[in-house]
Amino acid sequence: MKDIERMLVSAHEDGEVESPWKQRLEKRLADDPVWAAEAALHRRVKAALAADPEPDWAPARERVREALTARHALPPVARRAHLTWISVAAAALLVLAAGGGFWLGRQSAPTGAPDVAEVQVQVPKAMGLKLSGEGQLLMASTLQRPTH
Amino acid sequence: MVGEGGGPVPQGFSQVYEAWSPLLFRIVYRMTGRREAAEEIVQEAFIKYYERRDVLPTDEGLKFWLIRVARNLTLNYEKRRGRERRALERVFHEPAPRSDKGALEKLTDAESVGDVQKALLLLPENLRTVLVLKEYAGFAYAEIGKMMNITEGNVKVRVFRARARLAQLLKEVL
Repeated sequence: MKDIERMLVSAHEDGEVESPWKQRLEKRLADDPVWAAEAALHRRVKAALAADPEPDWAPARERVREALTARHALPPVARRAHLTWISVAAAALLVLAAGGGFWLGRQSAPTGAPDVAEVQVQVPKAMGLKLSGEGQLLMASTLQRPTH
Repeated sequence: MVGEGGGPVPQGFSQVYEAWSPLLFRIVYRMTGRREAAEEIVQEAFIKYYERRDVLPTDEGLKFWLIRVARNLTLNYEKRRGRERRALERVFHEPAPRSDKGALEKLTDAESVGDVQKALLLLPENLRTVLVLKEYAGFAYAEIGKMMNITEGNVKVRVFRARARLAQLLKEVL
Protein backbone atom coordinates (compact mmCIF):
# COMPACT_ATOMS: atom_id res chain seq x y z
CA MET A 1 0.00 0.00 0.00
CA LYS A 2 1.09 3.53 -0.66
CA ASP A 3 1.55 5.88 2.26
CA ILE A 4 -1.27 8.08 1.00
CA GLU A 5 -3.62 5.09 1.08
CA ARG A 6 -2.47 4.10 4.56
CA MET A 7 -3.04 7.67 5.68
CA LEU A 8 -6.58 7.53 4.31
CA VAL A 9 -7.22 4.38 6.34
CA SER A 10 -5.81 6.07 9.45
CA ALA A 11 -8.11 9.06 8.93
CA HIS A 12 -11.06 6.72 8.40
CA GLU A 13 -10.38 5.08 11.77
CA ASP A 14 -10.64 8.55 13.30
CA GLY A 15 -13.95 9.20 11.55
CA GLU A 16 -12.32 11.94 9.48
CA VAL A 17 -13.26 10.76 5.98
CA GLU A 18 -16.46 12.22 4.58
CA SER A 19 -18.94 10.99 2.00
CA PRO A 20 -18.71 9.85 -0.72
CA TRP A 21 -15.11 8.78 -0.04
CA LYS A 22 -16.13 7.16 3.21
CA GLN A 23 -18.46 4.65 1.50
CA ARG A 24 -15.92 3.87 -1.24
CA LEU A 25 -13.21 3.35 1.36
CA GLU A 26 -15.39 1.07 3.44
CA LYS A 27 -16.15 -1.08 0.38
CA ARG A 28 -12.42 -1.32 -0.28
CA LEU A 29 -11.75 -2.29 3.33
CA ALA A 30 -14.38 -5.01 3.07
CA ASP A 31 -13.03 -6.37 -0.21
CA ASP A 32 -9.27 -6.06 0.18
CA PRO A 33 -7.51 -7.98 2.98
CA VAL A 34 -4.38 -5.79 2.75
CA TRP A 35 -6.47 -2.69 3.37
CA ALA A 36 -8.41 -4.51 6.08
CA ALA A 37 -5.13 -5.49 7.80
CA GLU A 38 -3.98 -1.88 7.70
CA ALA A 39 -7.22 -0.74 9.31
CA ALA A 40 -6.88 -3.44 11.97
CA LEU A 41 -3.35 -2.25 12.78
CA HIS A 42 -4.55 1.32 13.34
CA ARG A 43 -7.37 0.04 15.52
CA ARG A 44 -4.90 -1.96 17.62
CA VAL A 45 -2.70 1.11 18.15
CA LYS A 46 -5.72 3.16 19.15
CA ALA A 47 -6.89 0.41 21.50
CA ALA A 48 -3.44 0.14 23.11
CA LEU A 49 -3.34 3.90 23.74
CA ALA A 50 -6.84 3.86 25.18
CA ALA A 51 -6.06 0.90 27.43
CA ASP A 52 -2.95 2.46 28.96
CA PRO A 53 -3.88 3.21 32.58
CA GLU A 54 -4.54 6.81 33.53
CA PRO A 55 -3.22 8.03 36.89
CA ASP A 56 -5.74 9.16 39.49
CA TRP A 57 -5.54 12.93 39.18
CA ALA A 58 -7.82 13.80 42.10
CA PRO A 59 -5.02 14.37 44.69
CA ALA A 60 -2.91 16.38 42.22
CA ARG A 61 -5.91 18.49 41.22
CA GLU A 62 -6.60 19.24 44.87
CA ARG A 63 -2.97 20.24 45.52
CA VAL A 64 -2.95 22.56 42.51
CA ARG A 65 -6.27 24.06 43.59
CA GLU A 66 -4.86 24.79 47.05
CA ALA A 67 -1.68 26.26 45.59
CA LEU A 68 -3.71 28.56 43.34
CA THR A 69 -5.82 29.69 46.29
CA ALA A 70 -2.76 30.43 48.39
CA ARG A 71 -1.10 32.32 45.58
CA HIS A 72 -3.91 34.58 44.49
CA ALA A 73 -5.88 35.76 47.50
CA LEU A 74 -6.36 35.76 51.21
CA PRO A 75 -8.64 33.13 52.71
CA PRO A 76 -12.26 34.34 52.86
CA VAL A 77 -12.41 34.81 56.66
CA ALA A 78 -9.17 36.78 56.89
CA ARG A 79 -10.26 38.87 53.94
CA ARG A 80 -13.53 39.80 55.67
CA ALA A 81 -11.69 40.68 58.90
CA HIS A 82 -9.34 42.87 56.91
CA LEU A 83 -12.26 44.72 55.35
CA THR A 84 -13.92 45.15 58.76
CA TRP A 85 -10.85 46.95 60.14
CA ILE A 86 -10.85 49.30 57.16
CA SER A 87 -14.53 50.05 57.75
CA VAL A 88 -13.98 50.75 61.46
CA ALA A 89 -11.04 53.04 60.74
CA ALA A 90 -13.03 54.94 58.11
CA ALA A 91 -15.98 55.35 60.46
CA ALA A 92 -13.72 56.62 63.26
CA LEU A 93 -12.15 59.19 60.92
CA LEU A 94 -15.61 60.36 59.87
CA VAL A 95 -16.73 60.81 63.48
CA LEU A 96 -13.56 62.75 64.32
CA ALA A 97 -13.97 64.97 61.28
CA ALA A 98 -17.63 65.66 62.04
CA GLY A 99 -16.89 66.38 65.74
CA GLY A 100 -14.02 68.69 64.85
CA GLY A 101 -16.16 70.56 62.37
CA PHE A 102 -18.94 71.00 64.89
CA TRP A 103 -16.51 72.26 67.56
CA LEU A 104 -14.87 74.71 65.16
CA GLY A 105 -18.29 75.92 64.05
CA ARG A 106 -19.32 76.64 67.62
CA GLN A 107 -16.06 78.50 68.30
CA SER A 108 -16.46 80.82 65.31
CA ALA A 109 -20.23 81.40 65.48
CA PRO A 110 -21.51 84.84 66.70
CA THR A 111 -22.75 84.76 70.28
CA GLY A 112 -26.04 86.57 69.70
CA ALA A 113 -28.92 85.05 67.73
CA PRO A 114 -30.17 87.08 64.75
CA ASP A 115 -32.86 89.51 65.46
CA VAL A 116 -36.33 88.06 64.74
CA ALA A 117 -37.45 91.18 63.01
CA GLU A 118 -34.40 91.12 60.79
CA VAL A 119 -35.05 87.48 59.79
CA GLN A 120 -38.71 88.37 59.26
CA VAL A 121 -37.64 90.88 56.65
CA GLN A 122 -34.56 89.23 55.12
CA VAL A 123 -35.77 85.64 54.60
CA PRO A 124 -38.88 86.37 52.55
CA LYS A 125 -36.88 88.95 50.63
CA ALA A 126 -34.21 86.40 49.82
CA MET A 127 -36.89 83.95 48.70
CA GLY A 128 -38.53 86.59 46.52
CA LEU A 129 -41.75 86.56 48.56
CA LYS A 130 -43.95 89.38 49.56
CA LEU A 131 -45.69 88.40 52.76
CA SER A 132 -48.96 89.90 53.76
CA GLY A 133 -49.63 90.93 57.31
CA GLU A 134 -50.94 87.45 58.23
CA GLY A 135 -47.91 85.78 56.68
CA GLN A 136 -45.58 88.03 58.65
CA LEU A 137 -47.42 87.23 61.87
CA LEU A 138 -47.24 83.47 61.15
CA MET A 139 -43.53 83.64 60.46
CA ALA A 140 -42.89 85.72 63.58
CA SER A 141 -44.75 83.21 65.73
CA THR A 142 -42.78 80.34 64.18
CA LEU A 143 -39.45 82.02 64.83
CA GLN A 144 -40.33 82.99 68.37
CA ARG A 145 -41.66 79.54 69.35
CA PRO A 146 -39.50 78.19 72.14
CA THR A 147 -37.55 75.02 71.37
CA HIS A 148 -37.20 72.11 73.79
CA MET B 1 -11.78 25.78 47.73
CA VAL B 2 -11.02 28.18 44.99
CA GLY B 3 -13.84 30.49 44.16
CA GLU B 4 -16.41 28.62 46.21
CA GLY B 5 -18.45 29.92 49.14
CA GLY B 6 -17.50 33.53 48.43
CA GLY B 7 -13.83 32.55 48.24
CA PRO B 8 -11.04 34.73 47.02
CA VAL B 9 -10.80 33.54 43.44
CA PRO B 10 -12.91 35.57 41.03
CA GLN B 11 -16.16 34.24 39.70
CA GLY B 12 -15.58 31.79 36.90
CA PHE B 13 -12.08 30.72 37.84
CA SER B 14 -13.22 27.69 39.79
CA GLN B 15 -15.56 26.63 37.02
CA VAL B 16 -12.80 26.95 34.44
CA TYR B 17 -10.46 24.94 36.64
CA GLU B 18 -13.05 22.23 37.22
CA ALA B 19 -13.91 22.08 33.54
CA TRP B 20 -10.50 22.00 31.92
CA SER B 21 -7.90 20.85 34.45
CA PRO B 22 -8.62 17.11 34.00
CA LEU B 23 -8.01 17.48 30.27
CA LEU B 24 -4.79 19.42 30.83
CA PHE B 25 -3.49 16.88 33.35
CA ARG B 26 -4.14 14.09 30.86
CA ILE B 27 -2.50 15.87 27.93
CA VAL B 28 0.60 17.02 29.82
CA TYR B 29 1.10 13.64 31.42
CA ARG B 30 0.96 11.92 28.03
CA MET B 31 3.40 14.47 26.65
CA THR B 32 5.92 14.14 29.49
CA GLY B 33 5.26 10.76 31.11
CA ARG B 34 5.62 12.43 34.51
CA ARG B 35 2.95 13.16 37.05
CA GLU B 36 4.93 15.86 38.83
CA ALA B 37 5.51 17.60 35.50
CA ALA B 38 1.79 17.50 34.82
CA GLU B 39 1.10 19.04 38.23
CA GLU B 40 3.69 21.78 37.80
CA ILE B 41 2.65 22.66 34.26
CA VAL B 42 -1.10 22.63 34.90
CA GLN B 43 -0.59 24.93 37.88
CA GLU B 44 1.52 27.30 35.82
CA ALA B 45 -1.03 27.29 32.98
CA PHE B 46 -3.81 28.29 35.38
CA ILE B 47 -1.65 31.03 36.89
CA LYS B 48 -1.24 32.44 33.39
CA TYR B 49 -4.99 32.14 32.89
CA TYR B 50 -5.62 33.97 36.19
CA GLU B 51 -3.29 36.79 35.21
CA ARG B 52 -4.87 37.30 31.79
CA ARG B 53 -8.44 36.19 32.40
CA ASP B 54 -9.88 39.63 31.64
CA VAL B 55 -8.69 39.60 28.04
CA LEU B 56 -9.18 35.90 27.27
CA PRO B 57 -12.15 34.35 25.48
CA THR B 58 -14.81 32.76 27.64
CA ASP B 59 -16.01 30.11 25.20
CA GLU B 60 -14.29 27.12 23.59
CA GLY B 61 -11.46 29.43 22.60
CA LEU B 62 -10.35 29.42 26.22
CA LYS B 63 -9.88 25.66 26.13
CA PHE B 64 -7.68 25.97 23.05
CA TRP B 65 -5.73 28.79 24.69
CA LEU B 66 -5.11 26.70 27.82
CA ILE B 67 -3.92 23.74 25.76
CA ARG B 68 -1.56 25.95 23.73
CA VAL B 69 -0.13 27.39 26.94
CA ALA B 70 0.26 23.92 28.44
CA ARG B 71 2.00 22.72 25.31
CA ASN B 72 4.45 25.64 25.36
CA LEU B 73 5.14 25.07 29.04
CA THR B 74 5.70 21.38 28.30
CA LEU B 75 8.22 22.23 25.58
CA ASN B 76 10.04 24.54 27.99
CA TYR B 77 9.99 21.84 30.63
CA GLU B 78 11.51 19.32 28.21
CA LYS B 79 14.21 21.78 27.18
CA ARG B 80 15.06 22.51 30.79
CA ARG B 81 15.30 18.82 31.58
CA GLY B 82 17.50 18.30 28.53
CA ARG B 83 19.87 21.03 29.69
CA GLU B 84 20.02 19.56 33.18
CA ARG B 85 20.72 16.10 31.82
CA ARG B 86 23.51 17.36 29.59
CA ALA B 87 25.03 19.27 32.49
CA LEU B 88 25.00 16.11 34.62
CA GLU B 89 26.54 14.16 31.79
CA ARG B 90 29.34 16.72 31.52
CA VAL B 91 29.96 16.57 35.24
CA PHE B 92 30.15 12.78 35.24
CA HIS B 93 31.94 12.61 31.85
CA GLU B 94 29.29 10.45 30.22
CA PRO B 95 28.41 10.97 26.56
CA ALA B 96 24.97 12.29 25.71
CA PRO B 97 22.68 9.71 24.07
CA ARG B 98 22.02 10.24 20.35
CA SER B 99 19.89 7.39 19.07
CA ASP B 100 16.54 5.87 19.93
CA LYS B 101 18.43 3.69 22.36
CA GLY B 102 19.56 6.86 24.05
CA ALA B 103 16.00 8.04 24.16
CA LEU B 104 15.03 4.77 25.83
CA GLU B 105 17.78 5.32 28.38
CA LYS B 106 16.36 8.77 28.97
CA LEU B 107 13.23 7.06 30.20
CA THR B 108 15.04 5.05 32.86
CA ASP B 109 15.01 8.10 35.14
CA ALA B 110 11.36 8.71 34.41
CA GLU B 111 8.52 7.30 36.41
CA SER B 112 7.64 3.71 36.01
CA VAL B 113 5.43 3.87 32.94
CA GLY B 114 4.06 1.15 30.70
CA ASP B 115 5.28 0.23 27.25
CA VAL B 116 2.65 2.33 25.55
CA GLN B 117 3.59 5.50 27.40
CA LYS B 118 7.29 4.79 26.82
CA ALA B 119 6.68 4.35 23.11
CA LEU B 120 4.68 7.57 23.06
CA LEU B 121 7.62 9.43 24.58
CA LEU B 122 9.88 8.16 21.84
CA LEU B 123 7.87 9.95 19.19
CA PRO B 124 9.09 13.35 18.01
CA GLU B 125 7.23 16.12 19.80
CA ASN B 126 5.31 17.29 16.72
CA LEU B 127 3.93 13.79 16.13
CA ARG B 128 3.33 13.06 19.82
CA THR B 129 1.32 16.25 20.34
CA VAL B 130 -1.18 15.60 17.56
CA LEU B 131 -1.61 11.98 18.57
CA VAL B 132 -2.15 12.90 22.22
CA LEU B 133 -4.67 15.58 21.27
CA LYS B 134 -6.46 13.06 19.07
CA GLU B 135 -6.38 9.98 21.31
CA TYR B 136 -6.41 11.42 24.82
CA ALA B 137 -8.32 14.65 24.31
CA GLY B 138 -10.63 13.51 21.51
CA PHE B 139 -10.20 16.57 19.31
CA ALA B 140 -11.08 16.55 15.63
CA TYR B 141 -8.33 17.17 13.08
CA ALA B 142 -9.66 20.67 12.40
CA GLU B 143 -9.53 21.57 16.10
CA ILE B 144 -6.00 20.21 16.46
CA GLY B 145 -4.95 22.21 13.43
CA LYS B 146 -6.42 25.34 14.97
CA MET B 147 -4.62 24.75 18.27
CA MET B 148 -1.27 24.01 16.67
CA ASN B 149 -1.62 26.53 13.88
CA ILE B 150 -1.21 23.92 11.15
CA THR B 151 -3.53 22.75 8.37
CA GLU B 152 -6.01 19.94 8.78
CA GLY B 153 -4.13 17.99 6.10
CA ASN B 154 -0.93 18.34 8.10
CA VAL B 155 -2.70 16.98 11.17
CA LYS B 156 -3.87 14.00 9.15
CA VAL B 157 -0.30 13.27 8.02
CA ARG B 158 1.13 13.62 11.52
CA VAL B 159 -1.49 11.39 13.11
CA PHE B 160 -0.81 8.72 10.51
CA ARG B 161 2.98 8.93 10.95
CA ALA B 162 2.66 8.86 14.72
CA ARG B 163 0.50 5.73 14.59
CA ALA B 164 2.77 4.04 12.07
CA ARG B 165 5.79 4.77 14.29
CA LEU B 166 3.98 3.53 17.38
CA ALA B 167 2.95 0.36 15.56
CA GLN B 168 6.64 -0.33 14.90
CA LEU B 169 7.68 0.45 18.46
CA LEU B 170 4.90 -1.66 19.94
CA LYS B 171 4.91 -4.51 17.43
CA GLU B 172 5.68 -7.02 20.17
CA VAL B 173 2.77 -5.99 22.33
CA LEU B 174 0.21 -5.27 19.64
